[in-house]
Amino acid sequence: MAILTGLIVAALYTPIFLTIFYSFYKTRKGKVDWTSFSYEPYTKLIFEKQILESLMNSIYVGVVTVICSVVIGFYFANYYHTSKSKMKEFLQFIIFLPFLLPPIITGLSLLIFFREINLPRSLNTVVIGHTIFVLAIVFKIILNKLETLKPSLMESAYDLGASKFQAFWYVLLPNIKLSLIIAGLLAFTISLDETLITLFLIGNDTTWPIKLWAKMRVGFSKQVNASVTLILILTSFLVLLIASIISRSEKKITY
Amino acid sequence: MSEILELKNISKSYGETKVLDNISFKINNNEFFTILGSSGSGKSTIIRMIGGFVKPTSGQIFYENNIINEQPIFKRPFNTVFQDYALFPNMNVSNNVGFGLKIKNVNILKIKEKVQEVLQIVGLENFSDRMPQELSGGQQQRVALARAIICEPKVILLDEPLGALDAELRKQMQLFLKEIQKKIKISFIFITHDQEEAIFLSDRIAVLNNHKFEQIGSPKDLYYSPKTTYMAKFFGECNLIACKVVDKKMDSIVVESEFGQLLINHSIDKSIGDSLTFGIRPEEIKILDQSSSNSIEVIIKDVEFRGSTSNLNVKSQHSEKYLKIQNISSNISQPFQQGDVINVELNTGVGTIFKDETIS
Repeated sequence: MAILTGLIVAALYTPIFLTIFYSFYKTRKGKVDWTSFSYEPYTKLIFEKQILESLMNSIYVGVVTVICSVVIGFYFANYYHTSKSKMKEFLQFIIFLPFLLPPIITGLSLLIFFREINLPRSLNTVVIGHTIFVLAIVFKIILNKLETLKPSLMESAYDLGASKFQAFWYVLLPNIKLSLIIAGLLAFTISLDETLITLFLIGNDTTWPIKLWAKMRVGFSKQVNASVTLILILTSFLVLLIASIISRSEKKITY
Repeated sequence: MSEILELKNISKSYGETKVLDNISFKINNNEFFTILGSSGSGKSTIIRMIGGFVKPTSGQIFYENNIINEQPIFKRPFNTVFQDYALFPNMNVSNNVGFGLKIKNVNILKIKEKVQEVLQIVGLENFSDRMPQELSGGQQQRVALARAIICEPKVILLDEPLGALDAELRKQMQLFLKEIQKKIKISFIFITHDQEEAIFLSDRIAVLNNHKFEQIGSPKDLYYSPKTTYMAKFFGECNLIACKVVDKKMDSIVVESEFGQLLINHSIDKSIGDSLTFGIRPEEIKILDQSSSNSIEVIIKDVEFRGSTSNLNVKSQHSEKYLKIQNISSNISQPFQQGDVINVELNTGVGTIFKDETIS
């Protein structure tokens, strides 16, 4: 069992680590040149303006997507949690739809829509696409947290004289803060490597995954390896951060 | 005692479901008032209405003679202690307690001083830096109470606050609540389904049954002068005997019952031939060594030893009707056997006559 598991893990995940490996070493005729270790691809990457620029675009899209999706996601989740309207199930269905549909459909529909309303394609249309895509996850994470809070919590804030805003600010927000951070980090990670919807909605700019894809078509370069490694590290860091936040908050909850 | 709060002809329905049906009552200053009812009887709805969380379908709520039906929650001079305490998990004990004052923009030094004062009242002065999660159920309860007291409300609403505590802690908290209410002189409206708790704590009790108040009165009133057979059986036990008036005297009546003839020491507006229900508590039936003029003969079915007291289930000589008798164990001189015939006397002076009711 252990050996089989080990083999499957190796088969599945070796390519990822090879990428890191090849960013440091050169190969010649399928053989690794052990003397070729260098940081050169990384230093070169700094001068590779296009890749850096696309990375900055991706970060811009990611950050704005996080802000939009967390604000809208909280608003919807809070509405869903407190409303007695039967329409709220429909709202949830709509929110989940773009996440469940093939991204091509989502991307294409948005493209047609933007064209209809004469909105030129840009990084901002990408932000809209990403927000619609990640909203389902953000909504669900925040809603789950809201549902663990006792209804009496807000009621007691009102009872002690708080206005709606004060109850939100002093009681609700501090208690859902962690879930907002987790939702935001996830939204950022998803936005960072989203390609399909982006392809439809991007104009003359380019995001990082699309740039890499374009670069691969004209042959590999060490810089691609290097930037993949960097993103791998960044994403792993984000995932670990999310995991540690979750485990810390769980510990806090156990009475 | 002056009235502070009044509910007048209050009804509440959720869609087709009626929760409260035309209830009215008044709360006096510094009163410990308990609303007693089984779960789902609508008792929580009453204090949620007073607190402002629920609006009545019809009827008025008066505070110092002004209607407050439309007043928003945060403007009402009442504070609630919730069943699940509802302490803010993101704040420590002193911030929880000081929250109401902070919202009112009270000076921070003044808040600190007040928080210490109130924590002292509830006996938690050494816990001000703890988080709610680090406190036991009873301690959380005290914090919730302190948080309400500090706002100096006119009425504190307590929604089954002891429901989640174990029996021992519950008893301690009952004593604590009673003492604190006397100390701070604020009216308490307390919700419970526990009769003993209600009797122990309350100045007055309102019993909720079938969406209406069955009776409102002091614990003694409810116990000794129940207005309905439901009330008679609600507090402790009560033997209900169907009777027919056979003779009438100046201050008593003679009735025929399934246990034979009884002399009831009540002057009552009934004529010969009328039927009535007579209720008597088990402890008001005496076991006699010999028969007397007003005693009846019954057969022992079983004896339940309950420590200081013993319960006897006895059957009528003439029918399948049973009576329950409670006696101090040491007063029962000879050990009784099942099937023994004994003479008992009913202390009819403290019994209750239910005029027009059939036994429910």
